[in-house]
Amino acid sequence: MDATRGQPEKRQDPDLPARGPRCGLLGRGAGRGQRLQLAREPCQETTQDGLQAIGAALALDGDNRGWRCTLAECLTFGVCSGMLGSPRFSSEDDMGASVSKNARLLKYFVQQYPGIPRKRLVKLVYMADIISRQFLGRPISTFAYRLDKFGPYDPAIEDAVAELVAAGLAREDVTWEDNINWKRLRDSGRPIAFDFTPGESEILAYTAKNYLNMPMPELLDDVVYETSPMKEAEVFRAPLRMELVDNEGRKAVGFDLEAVIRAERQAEAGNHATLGAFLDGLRTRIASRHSK
Amino acid sequence: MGYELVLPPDTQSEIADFILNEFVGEAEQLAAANAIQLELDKLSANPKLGTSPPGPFEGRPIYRFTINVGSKRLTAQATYKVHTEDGLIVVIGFGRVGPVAL
Repeated sequence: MDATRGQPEKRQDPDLPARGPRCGLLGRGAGRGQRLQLAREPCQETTQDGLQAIGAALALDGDNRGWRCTLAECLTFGVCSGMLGSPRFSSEDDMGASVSKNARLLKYFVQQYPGIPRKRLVKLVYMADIISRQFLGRPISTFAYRLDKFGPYDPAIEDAVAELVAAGLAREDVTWEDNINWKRLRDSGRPIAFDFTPGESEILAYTAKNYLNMPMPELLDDVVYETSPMKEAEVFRAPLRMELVDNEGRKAVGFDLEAVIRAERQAEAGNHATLGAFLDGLRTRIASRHSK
Repeated sequence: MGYELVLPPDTQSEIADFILNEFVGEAEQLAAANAIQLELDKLSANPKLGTSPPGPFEGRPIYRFTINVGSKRLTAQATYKVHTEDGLIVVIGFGRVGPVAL
């Protein structure tokens, strides 16, 4: 898998086609006939969604999308939706300690993409698990993926979503538009403490940087369907053999990501020596060891 | 002008382990230390010698080199971060590259 392909240069609406009402047909390409026409990705997003995504709307320039909103509109929405004066400022916040790691993983992506569609969310979580397996030898979540209608999926993802919603950390909007059932998860704005390891955090940052805003057809065809477990999958709803990618990246680079980050942090804390000083000391050690 | 190359304690241990475990005797070990210094000095003169693999290491280039000491010929590699503003290269990982599995 080439994990770096097709990085977008700026945030666009990745679940919308660049122009026109195009829908991404999943499973395109040779050798994937079985998945052909299994599903059609939703590819329309309402102006309302753009308005609700306050942070995004302010940051975006509205490339052919009608996402612009005035400050007054944003503030009005903020007050009406309860984002202002909401529990996010409550001192009773439990910092998310009561939700599972799976739910916290979803929250990580939800808070970076206002109104993230369920299908994109699942792909991001899947890619984070793939990269984590490649470089750390283990997944971040405990999801057990299978080949489903829209690609890799685990019904337990719905439980994690429900957990987030029940804990007031996100809310889910379900709408039916143009024969497409949209499930969008929106961050409540309540912060939680993430307890990911440094290596996991690095992988999540990498996943978000590269795939959060990637156009959906590209994310599916060039990234998700190019991973070994998906390439190998043939039977509908059969478990994906995620272990196929275990330690692939670690072996390729020859370094342990967690160890490298640990060393980085030592250096950031000012705990380091110059090459010359260190080697001089080592030479003295070697000489004295052999003189004995 | 080159960068100053620094090593956090974990990397120092990795380099020391490499020299002390892979080479035998004072002469070999000192020669290995000299060879490593030579290679890492090349890196501090030109931080672009390393290559950035895809994935989480894309911001951490890897510089691979061969050390010839006596009849031994070993390949080692260092991964590092360049801090342009500080004129620093921090070597955050060091190790031997094993033989390629056939």
